[in-house]
Amino acid sequence: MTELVGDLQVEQDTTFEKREWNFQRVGRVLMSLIVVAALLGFFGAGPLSLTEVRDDTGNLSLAYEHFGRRGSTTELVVDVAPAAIANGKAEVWLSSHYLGEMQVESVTPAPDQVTIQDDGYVYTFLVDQPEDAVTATFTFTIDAMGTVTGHAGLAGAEPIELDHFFTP
Amino acid sequence: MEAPLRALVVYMFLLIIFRIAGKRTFAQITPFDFVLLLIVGEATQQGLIGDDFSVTKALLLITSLLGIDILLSYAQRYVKPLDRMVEGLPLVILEDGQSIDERMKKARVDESDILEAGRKAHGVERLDQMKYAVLERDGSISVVPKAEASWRAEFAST
Repeated sequence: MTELVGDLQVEQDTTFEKREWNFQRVGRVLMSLIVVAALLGFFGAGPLSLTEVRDDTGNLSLAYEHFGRRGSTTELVVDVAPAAIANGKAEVWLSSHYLGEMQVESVTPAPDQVTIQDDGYVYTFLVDQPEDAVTATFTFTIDAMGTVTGHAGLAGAEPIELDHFFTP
Repeated sequence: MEAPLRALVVYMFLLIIFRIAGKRTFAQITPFDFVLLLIVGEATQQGLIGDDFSVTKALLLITSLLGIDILLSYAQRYVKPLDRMVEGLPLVILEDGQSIDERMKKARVDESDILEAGRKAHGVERLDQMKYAVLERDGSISVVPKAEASWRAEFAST
């Protein structure tokens, strides 16, 4: 609709313009919220994203990021208490469903062996001193979007659930 | 995600965020704006390409992006409300030598911008020599000067 402003023929619409300013104001608020959310960790690593869980026996604890982005890397830090180490071996089980959604890039320290067991993989770490706890870091490349759950546990014990949300 | 889908998501996102930024944001590109645009381009590229550096992917992306652009321009031609949403509308910010402050404030334009546009296009010296100033859809300011006799008469009478 072309309005006449005095002699000037111009496609001006002040109502539309007001709506546009409102849209821009709302948009700017949203942009600020997105930045704050990103800083807090809603799209990846950050204070609200970091999750620490411990199993019932207290022998296994996991630290991981709840939020992540597909294609980026994320870490799972597994702590095995000395009480759960038998015969100089710490055995950590990860469900095969979980490893299907996450590509293992590296495991530090390198496990002595990986065996397939109970619909999952058991990573065996050798321990020299029986009083030493084992801390292993799994680095994954995220290969899924949306909600991803998985399980991790000590071989033969009740596993803990891992719960993620990944953006594209 | 397939290349056309990535292209569509990025295209829509950029369209919306540049509309939020407003007309004036890149109307006059200062050296800093230029660098900022390059960085935006760089950041966009990563999201578009991902980790697939094949020529096929590049060709698919270019085809998709330009395809979306052509489709949108056709749609804008036939659906007027869409045209307004995508491109915005011009806005009169000065009428008869009087700047319309509320609109200028909202559109982030000040008097020096209008004066600059007047000087560049018509060698106009003052605001009262302008009949209209319009903030155009692309963020530039166009000035319609008063006929010289008219502003001289006005100036003499004050």
